Amino acid sequence: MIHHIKIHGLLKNYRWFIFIFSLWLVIGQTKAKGQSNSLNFTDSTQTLLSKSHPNTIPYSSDRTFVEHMLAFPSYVFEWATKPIDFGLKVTERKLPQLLQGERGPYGIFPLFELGGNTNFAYGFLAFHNEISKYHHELRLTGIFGSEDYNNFEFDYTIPKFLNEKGRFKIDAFYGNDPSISLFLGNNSNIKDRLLYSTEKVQSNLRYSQSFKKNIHFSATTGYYLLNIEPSIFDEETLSDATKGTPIPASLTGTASMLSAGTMITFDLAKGSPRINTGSRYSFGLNWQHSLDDNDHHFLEYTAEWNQFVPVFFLPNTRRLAFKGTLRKAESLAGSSIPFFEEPSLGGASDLRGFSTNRFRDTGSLLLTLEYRYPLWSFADIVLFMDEGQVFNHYSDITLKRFHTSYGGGLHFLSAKGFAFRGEYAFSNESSRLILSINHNF
Amino acid sequence: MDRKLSLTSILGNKLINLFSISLLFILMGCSTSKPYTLGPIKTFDPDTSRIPEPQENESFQYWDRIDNTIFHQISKPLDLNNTVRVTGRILGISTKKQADNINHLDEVPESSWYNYRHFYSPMLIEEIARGPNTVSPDTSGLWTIFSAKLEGANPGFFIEDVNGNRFLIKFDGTNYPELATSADVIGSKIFHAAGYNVPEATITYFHPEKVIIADGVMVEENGEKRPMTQQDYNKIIKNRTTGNKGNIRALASKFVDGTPVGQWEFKGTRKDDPNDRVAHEHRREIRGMRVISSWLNDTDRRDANTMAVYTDEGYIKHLVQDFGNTLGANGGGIHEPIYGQAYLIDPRFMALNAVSLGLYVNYWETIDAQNYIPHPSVGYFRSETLNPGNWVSVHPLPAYENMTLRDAFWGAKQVMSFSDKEIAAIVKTGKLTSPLAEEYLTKVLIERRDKIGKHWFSRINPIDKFRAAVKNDSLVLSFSDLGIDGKFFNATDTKYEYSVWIEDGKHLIDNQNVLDPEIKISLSDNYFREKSPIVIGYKVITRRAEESISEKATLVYVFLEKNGPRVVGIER
Repeated sequence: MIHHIKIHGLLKNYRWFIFIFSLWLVIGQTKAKGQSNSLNFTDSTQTLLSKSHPNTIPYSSDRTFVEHMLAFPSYVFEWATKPIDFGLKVTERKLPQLLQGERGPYGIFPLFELGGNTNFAYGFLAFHNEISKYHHELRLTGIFGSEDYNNFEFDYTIPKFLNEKGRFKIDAFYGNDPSISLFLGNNSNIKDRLLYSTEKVQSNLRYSQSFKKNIHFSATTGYYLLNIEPSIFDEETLSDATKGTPIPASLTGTASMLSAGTMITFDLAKGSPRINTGSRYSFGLNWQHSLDDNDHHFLEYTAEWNQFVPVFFLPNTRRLAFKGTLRKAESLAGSSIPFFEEPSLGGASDLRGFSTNRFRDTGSLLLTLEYRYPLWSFADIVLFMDEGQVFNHYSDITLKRFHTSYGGGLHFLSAKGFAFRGEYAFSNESSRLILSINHNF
Repeated sequence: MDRKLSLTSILGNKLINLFSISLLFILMGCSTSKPYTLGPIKTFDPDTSRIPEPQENESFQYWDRIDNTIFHQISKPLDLNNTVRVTGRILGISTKKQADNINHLDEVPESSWYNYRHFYSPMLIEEIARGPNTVSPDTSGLWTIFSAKLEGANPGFFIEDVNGNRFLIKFDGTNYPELATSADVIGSKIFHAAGYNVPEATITYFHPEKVIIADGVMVEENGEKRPMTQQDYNKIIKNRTTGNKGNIRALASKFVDGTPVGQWEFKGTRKDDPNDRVAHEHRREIRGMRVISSWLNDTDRRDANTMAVYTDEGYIKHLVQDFGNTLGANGGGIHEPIYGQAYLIDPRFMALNAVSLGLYVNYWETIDAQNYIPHPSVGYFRSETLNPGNWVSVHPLPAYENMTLRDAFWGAKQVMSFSDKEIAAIVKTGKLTSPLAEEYLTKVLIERRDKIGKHWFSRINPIDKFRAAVKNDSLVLSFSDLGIDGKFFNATDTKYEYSVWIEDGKHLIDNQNVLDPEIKISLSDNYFREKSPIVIGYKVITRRAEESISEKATLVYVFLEKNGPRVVGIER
């Protein structure tokens, strides 16, 4: 039976071949070519007498019918890319600043967010870096996924505030998120996930000042109002990976918080757009106090060390990058620390293979080691390993309690430095794709 | 199960058959008819017929780069003509598609794109140095700015001098005086002598106070148009290279005759030009231009740096322009070491970098260009780093990608046609104030020329300029060995093995050797006279002492008729 079908198939192909070959002979070989192909010995006399001088017959690249057929897939592809061609040309003609990236004085970019609770969210980033003759900077960001998931951000920066190296920034934020995970402690089980939703309004004032080239100081004060409710998602509407139970009613309610903080960074790292060598040290303090009936009053301190070490026998674009981060919140005067302000691990910038906020306690310790090497001038390949744990007391910290995450990805660079990263991270619990415009370190 | 298997088999068979048939078509397409003509040799491609004036096509800075870098690369394997040909090449049964506009002598006829100049009819050294120039801007009177560009890499303006001649005025970058302007002039002279149409370009020194702004000149800044001010002018000329008495050095590029109608592209044809029949990626003069570009490190060659002009005679003339990114210059700055070595986005090296985990170090990563700039006015321009076979422009160009060995040989012939003295004369027109810089630039150009010549003349049989004559009752086929003319090989280490046959395939001479580039056949035998007119075929292989040299054959066809012999076909 198979044999029969094969023979039949070949016979059909043979007919097809004859048909195409005939077509090729009839149509394909009749193409007009500037250079006459009919010259041969037998008609040489006629050719010499011909009135058609070759200089009067133009060359041509005409394709035969068969050649067109063979090129058809490429034609389809070219037609399919026409809208990109058209769009890019219109953009260059009408909105050339868009194609200059943030080099241009102003622009607007579309934003898309895939995945998460709403699967798809869209929005925009608009900026203007030359407002007034003092070159104030404005940035507006909006992301809309649904009525329950959206956020809007406004930043206004006054450069050269008070002095050449001073900057003053006002920012405001409104957003809500229908499902945030809460895990308590370093040994929490993935099945112990609690879920809550938030609606938040926040505003901050920030003054930053650089001293010399590598000492940066900032002071921030802010206020926010946060409303916490059980997640609107129930277990049935969530996937296995995000299933959880609503938080108890005792944890819901509204919090009104005032904060004030300061941070100082000693930036001894070198290289542009890639940071190749040197180190960076940051120390921060943040005080928060509730303005309502909640008795929240605490201080959080942060210390971070970044070290960049070139691989010794290779150009310094191949380097190891290390980050160590310690965060600890301490309650003041017997008050409490709200769970949503406790340090957590798991997310796009720390234990990357775990889900967001996977581990939470009053302290966190994170160690990250990355090997970065250039894919090309505008991109690095990054292989990384994260080790982290949360703790309540420093004495809780042990080697055994570290959680491990590892992965790799690409960091895209602009002339100014980091621009965008795409990473894939793994852990013993889960894996995740990270696409972010925020630098890790 | 059987049914599934049989369907798979049928599908597989069909795919194999489709591929086989495609391969057959391509290979049949590769086969050529007679490789010679008994008629006149085509020396002109008539693409200058009068056509209606076309609309100006807009020049875009991004699309051609993105298209050629990404979409064109994806499209190539989808064109089965190309894929099957590549497969055939891997199997050793096919070659790259040759150019569509080559005559039976393997040369490019003249056209609206190309003119026979130095290689074909050696120009006087003064003619080469003069290039396309007919007039310089008159600096004795006032210049009137009638248009200006404030932003971008090269701010400049357009002026009209007292004689009514119009010029584009461009400047050097502030850190590299004389670099961009000299590169622009030198590049245009070389391209002109090589046969291309280029705008006139000259170095000029003008007094900054002898320039006025015409009424109504608008400039664009931050996306907004406004009238040009004296401050704008001052800003453009600030910190520019100066000469005697505070005169400012600039490049003056004369407006071309005719009406500019946009750019031409490195692939396809222009739809509104009925004269444009040969796909640009298959034009020999554009494919072979890659070799000339490699000589000058002309890395920014792309659609936006070309010009199409509707002439007074009513056809579109094609120009190559903007040589400010040649030699050591990259606009106002210098070339980076990667330029010429890899594309701006080069998947070949990216793949290598990725899989090697960073252990593979690209050569250009180890170079700090600042350590190789002997004079600011020559920028980063070296001969040691040139790899003629692998040279690439910053962005892929379909015509350059399609360059075959024959195209490269043609390009190398153009490059090698410039003598040391001619190169020095061209460099002088760049008006570098430092004699040492001038000397260095000349030296590097000569070294790069020789690297190109040696590279390409080692990969193909570099015999050319065939001449047939009857002398003392002998048919003499003489030729030039460009490898020896270029002093890459010794005449004493070279011999030419040849065979001769006539039309019915009858071999008259088999595998004889001569030491000089001249092959004689006695005509005393009445055989030729009886057969005349007759085509005589020669197969010539150049044998060198060096083992590494390619020994490919060149076939030459001579038509012997009453009026005497003439070369009617060359196959490489």
